[in-house]
Amino acid sequence: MLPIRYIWGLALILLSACGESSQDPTALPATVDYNWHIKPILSDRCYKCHGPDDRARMAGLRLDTQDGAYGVSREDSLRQIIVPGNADASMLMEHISSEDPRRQMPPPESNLSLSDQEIALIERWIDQGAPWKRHWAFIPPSWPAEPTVEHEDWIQGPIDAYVLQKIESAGLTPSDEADRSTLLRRISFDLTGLPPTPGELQDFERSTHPDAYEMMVDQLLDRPAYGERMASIWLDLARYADTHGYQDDRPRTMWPWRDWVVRAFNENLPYDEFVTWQIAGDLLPDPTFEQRLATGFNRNHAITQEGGVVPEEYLTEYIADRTNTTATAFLGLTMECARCHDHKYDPILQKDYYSMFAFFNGVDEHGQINYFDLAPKPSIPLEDPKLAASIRQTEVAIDSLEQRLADWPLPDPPSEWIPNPEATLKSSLLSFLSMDDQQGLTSAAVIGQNGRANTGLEKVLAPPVTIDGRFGGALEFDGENFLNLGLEADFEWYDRFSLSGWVFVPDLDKSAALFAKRNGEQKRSGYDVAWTPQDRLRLRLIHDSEHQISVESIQRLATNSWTHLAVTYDGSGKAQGIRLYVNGLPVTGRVLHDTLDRNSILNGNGLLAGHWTFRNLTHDEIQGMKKGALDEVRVYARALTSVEVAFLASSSFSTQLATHYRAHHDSGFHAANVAIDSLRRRIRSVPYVMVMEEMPTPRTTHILDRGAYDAPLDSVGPDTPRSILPFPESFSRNRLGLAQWLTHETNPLTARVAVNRLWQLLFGEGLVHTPEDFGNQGALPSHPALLDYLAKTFIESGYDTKAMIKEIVMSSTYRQSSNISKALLQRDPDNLLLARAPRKRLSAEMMRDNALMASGLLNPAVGGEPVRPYQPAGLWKALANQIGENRYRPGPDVHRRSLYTYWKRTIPPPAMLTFDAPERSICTVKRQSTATPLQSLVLLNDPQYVEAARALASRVLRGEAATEQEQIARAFQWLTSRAPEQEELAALAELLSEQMSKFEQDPAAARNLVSVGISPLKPELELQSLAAMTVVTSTIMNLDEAQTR
Amino acid sequence: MNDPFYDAGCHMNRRHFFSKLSLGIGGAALASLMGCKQAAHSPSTDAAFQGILPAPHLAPKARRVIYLFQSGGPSQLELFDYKPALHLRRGEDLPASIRMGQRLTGMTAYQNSLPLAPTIYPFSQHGQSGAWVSDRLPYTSKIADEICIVRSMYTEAINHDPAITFFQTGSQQPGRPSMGAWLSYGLGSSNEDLPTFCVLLSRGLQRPQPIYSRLWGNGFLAALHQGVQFRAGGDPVLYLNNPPGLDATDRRSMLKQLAHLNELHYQTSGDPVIQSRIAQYEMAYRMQTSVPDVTDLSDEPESTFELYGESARIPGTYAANCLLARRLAERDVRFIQLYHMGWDQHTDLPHHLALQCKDTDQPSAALVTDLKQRGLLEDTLVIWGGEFGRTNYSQGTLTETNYGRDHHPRCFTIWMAGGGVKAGLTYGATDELGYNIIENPVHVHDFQATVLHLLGIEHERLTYRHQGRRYRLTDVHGSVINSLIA
Repeated sequence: MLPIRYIWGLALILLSACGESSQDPTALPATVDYNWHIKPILSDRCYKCHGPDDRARMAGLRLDTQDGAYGVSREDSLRQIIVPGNADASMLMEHISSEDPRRQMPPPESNLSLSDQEIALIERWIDQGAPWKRHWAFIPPSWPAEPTVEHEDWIQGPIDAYVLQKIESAGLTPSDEADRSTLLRRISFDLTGLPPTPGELQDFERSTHPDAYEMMVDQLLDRPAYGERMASIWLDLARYADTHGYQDDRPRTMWPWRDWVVRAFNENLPYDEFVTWQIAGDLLPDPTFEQRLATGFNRNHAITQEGGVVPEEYLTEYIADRTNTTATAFLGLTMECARCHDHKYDPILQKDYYSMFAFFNGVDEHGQINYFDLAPKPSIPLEDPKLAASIRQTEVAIDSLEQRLADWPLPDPPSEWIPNPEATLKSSLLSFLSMDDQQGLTSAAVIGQNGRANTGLEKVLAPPVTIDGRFGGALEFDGENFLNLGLEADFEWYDRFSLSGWVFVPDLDKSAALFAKRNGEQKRSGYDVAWTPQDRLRLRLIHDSEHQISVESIQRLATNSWTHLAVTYDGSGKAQGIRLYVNGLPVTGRVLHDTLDRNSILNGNGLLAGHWTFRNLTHDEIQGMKKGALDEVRVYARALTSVEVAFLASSSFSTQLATHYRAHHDSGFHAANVAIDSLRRRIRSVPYVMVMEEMPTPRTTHILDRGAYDAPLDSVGPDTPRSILPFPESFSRNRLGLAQWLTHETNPLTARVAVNRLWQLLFGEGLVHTPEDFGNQGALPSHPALLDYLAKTFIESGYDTKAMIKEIVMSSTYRQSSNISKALLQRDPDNLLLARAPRKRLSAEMMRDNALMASGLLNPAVGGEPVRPYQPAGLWKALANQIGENRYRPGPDVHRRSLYTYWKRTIPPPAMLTFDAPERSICTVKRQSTATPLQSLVLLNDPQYVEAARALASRVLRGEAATEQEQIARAFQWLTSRAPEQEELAALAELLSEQMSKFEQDPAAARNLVSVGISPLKPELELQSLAAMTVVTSTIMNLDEAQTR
Repeated sequence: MNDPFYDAGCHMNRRHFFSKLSLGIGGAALASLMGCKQAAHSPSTDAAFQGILPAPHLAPKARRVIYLFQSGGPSQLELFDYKPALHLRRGEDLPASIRMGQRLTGMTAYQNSLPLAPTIYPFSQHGQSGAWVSDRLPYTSKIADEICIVRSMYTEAINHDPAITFFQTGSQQPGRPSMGAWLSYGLGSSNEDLPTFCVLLSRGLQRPQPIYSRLWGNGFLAALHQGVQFRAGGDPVLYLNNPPGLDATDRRSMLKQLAHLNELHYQTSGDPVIQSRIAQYEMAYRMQTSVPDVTDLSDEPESTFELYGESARIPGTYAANCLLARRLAERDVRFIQLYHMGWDQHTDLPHHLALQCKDTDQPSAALVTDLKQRGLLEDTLVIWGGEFGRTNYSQGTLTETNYGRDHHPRCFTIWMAGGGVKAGLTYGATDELGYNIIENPVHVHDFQATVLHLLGIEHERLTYRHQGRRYRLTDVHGSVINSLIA
């Protein structure tokens, strides 16, 4: 039944486009219009074989040109296809009304057909003289005539006149203005993506100022949140992501470009410049850093690093993506349909496609990029004076503090002082495994399991066996198995740490891994401690093969006997920060590599003892501990002193007492160390970001047969489709010329496409319902004159986006109530007449940001690196795509706006996809709005929403509201922007008391519920009340009204 | 279910659907993921609001699909495509006359020689049909007469990401809907309380190639057509479980008030979307019971684990997923997509391939056997296969006991069972060196067209208009291979 519904929908558009007011959708319009009534039918049902594509054309007939349609038939040169004014004599009518399958058009095998009503429309059009017109969207917009309307008092500005004319001609009246709270909620979400606060609601409702609404609009447009809201739309269109997008889907640095988008909107950069900078900022005279940064727009497409690809194949894909994206985003054209053949529906030849392609084919880039490249060439370093200054400042502070620590005098320990390593060794101990029995082990570590949730039983390894150790039992490995110490000890380069244990190793032919945080990935960062075949102790901190620290002992170790080994690291990022100990005594190390250069060594997998990998692989001369054993293993999150190591090795600690004393009893020294730790955490280098840059000689562009990279045909130069607007001779044939062409005042598409998207932003649907397609197959504008008015206004204002948005939201049209009467629902279910405001479900970003804002959790910081909020554990691992596994670190970044959430293109944040966010693989200009049970599960159970419900409960319980009812009302207002009715309040109060009695009986349940999330509990609140109120706030959060604006 | 809340919601749903066809997406959204209990006499597929197709184009032979995707590219030469001639020409360089300019991946393109590498595994014929199967697949051999082996599959992609994306979406580049999403869009849901399109993941021992959630994505179709990933441990479906401290009773009383409040708001607003919201919560509540019910194996007898193997007891293994697939099929889930990762044997192939086989052979065969004995095989299409094949020459050094194989798009083998395919058929043939197809080629788009055909869909007629053109799973290609159909 749905397809039928869509056909009627189309009929309704057609009718209303012509201002007909008949209730009967099958009635024909008095005057049939080619553009509005006829061409959509011909295009959709006929052009595939009788359209612009030469090679697909049947019977030599084309219906997309006047010459073709009025011409004579090939089979009978006396017959005209269309005889203007005489349908009966027209061959077209004969074919489309034929019931003979051999003559019938469209032919049955095409799976296309014409309805009786469509045939009647064509007949009437021919009888009326079959007047021909250019495609509406290819005629430059012009100022439309101001319509006359009856209820002039309703009109705030020209927009309302165009809308009201249609409403009145349909015999309807507009809806009343929405109440103030609804209006404030609407503009707050539409302009900033965030809800109004109760304070703002109160002020706005009470204000008697005649311009209160306008003042509010101005205020919202001035907030930084406006730029974030607008950017959230632009990122879909620009297929922005924080990863490269294919296969292993490694990270990239494009966030500086995203921040530029936010700034550009907030500074209200005129749209023509906004376009120009992104297409060709680098080609402007003396381009600024921001102009070059903006060109990152066309580097946002996916780029592959998969081994073995043919680079030329992918280069072709990248350039095709730029071509398609540019056409969709700025022109509303489906140019990609002309990649393999001439466009089937629009006047775009395959040659036009590759001429457009040629503009983007001059970038010196790689088809297959280096595995670790965060910003493949061409790229530029981020120019951010504040960042550079802070980096410099931190570097200087670290240098001077490092020097001070190096020179820190060794004190004379007081004579009565006796070191007590036994006590200090308890501090910062992450893991201690005596290995005496395996029972003790299982709770702390997993023995024998191979660590893969999804692997069959066949390969479970034999568990390590308990043997007599140095003290009590020890664990002996077989070269394949290992001990998994769990996810802890995931150290960064600036973390201090130590590992120690008693080790028994037989003769080796390859290095045996004693400890490893590697997970068998040669490409994975991490660290390992190994016993080399030359019987040396080696510690490595690895970012990648080019960035690592590796230090090994000069002294050789004794095999086939128990040896105590320890390694310590001081978080300096340098080889000199490593100490190696054998049997309690420091030994001299030889530096093999010292090139870590403060790169990350985070790994994200289990710490293994006895092997370097879960997978029993040999790599890089490192393997498991075959017939080797470990005892008394310890892992510390600090560098042990030599006294402590000596104590662990049961060796004498008469030396180095002073060092130990300084480490544990010198408060100045301790404070200096704390200071340097925090400085090191802040250090970072200036990131590079991808941009567009021309090669000295651009590549030659060929038309590609069937679009295939390895099938070049004729060569073509840069050009734009003539059917839209011929490329002026005075423009350079490069991207800058293309940008000038796009923003040329007679370009018929750019301004229309842009204002249509703004309309869609505010009304949910554009005036053209297919923002991605203004061509023959696209929808017709519901209000063509209004669209032209907006486009002309936009151009004449100097492409002032904020002014355009303001004009729309100031209109009576926008300010109508969204309530729907039964009659109106029946008359205009799709709201094509705009006789009411739409109710829109919040977008994926708004949904989460609303919960964060209402609960007070939102961290409003603008810009910066992507952040890692809560994510279900193992989400990436299940797809074997865990490189850089998303692990949030508790802190304020968990609660940033959703715009900043790390976007991994092959596995995007699942809750966002559930709420209709696109994957960002390709340019997307319109999101769908669905209602699915999975959305309910997210809002009910996702820890982020549970935490937000608790935080909001806590907020209202601690606020000014004295009674339960007032507290509920406050929460209700936060989430819906209005006060609850009595009946609503009663229902929620009933729920509250029900939950109160439940949690009083089950305080443990209350504690569990309110413990979700990292935000701290407010100690003064009683847990049962908080839990019960949490259920209530969660209920309100799940109301339809809380999910819409 | 004797639950007044359920019944109330269910009536709401039906009323909603009938009153809300006008809302397009909103209505379709629910139609796919849910569908209330039909009266006993009316078949559940009968409801016109489910799926975009008012009725199948053809009489469907299959009602549902279980797709056992073997990700990484299993070697046809070790499993199904027996090439004795390779033994005779062992170590010889691949003749240019055979390669015919076929492009190679960057991994072997620069190799000095391409030595022909026969398999080290013995092959023999099995069943009445006499199908050739290697000794690495003892269980699959036993069902030789149930399956239809296609030895002449070919594709255009030579790298994992584009090749898998091509198989699952009909296009090598991201952005198109996956096969399961197309079916959800076309046919809607045929079960009561579970998602239409379920995805189960597992992997072998070797470091596998990753996969991507776009493989079960909705592309330009509505988000409700996305595959729903089932997970081992924790929440079997993301966010399914109530937060700690809240039990089913709490959830129910909360949802009761929620429905009441939404209904009140509907009175003032009049927006029918609110009714769909009420139904949406109802379905979520039912999923909270129906999903754990399907993943809880405690009602399975010992004989199940004898059939599928002991590892079927461990959630997240391939065996457990095969068993779960059967349980989902029993509940009439339309499209059950498994991915088993780890078939990418560039080096050390004999060792690693054998391990992969050990993981997958018994459960795959068990699934077919199990479906058959339950009478489900008849209308369930089971598909086994990867994204491409592997070369007949060795990647790296060829030794007596060891070799590797690179990606090979020109020929590879898949098998299908049940759901209207010819049992016991071996279809298509490759040349004597196993490099090119010499008989009955089947392109990926042909395969997709055939699968749709078995489900009663003409692949050229299931389309979605987007960006001005009618997209379909098979792009502008594909022909149904009638010889495969019983």
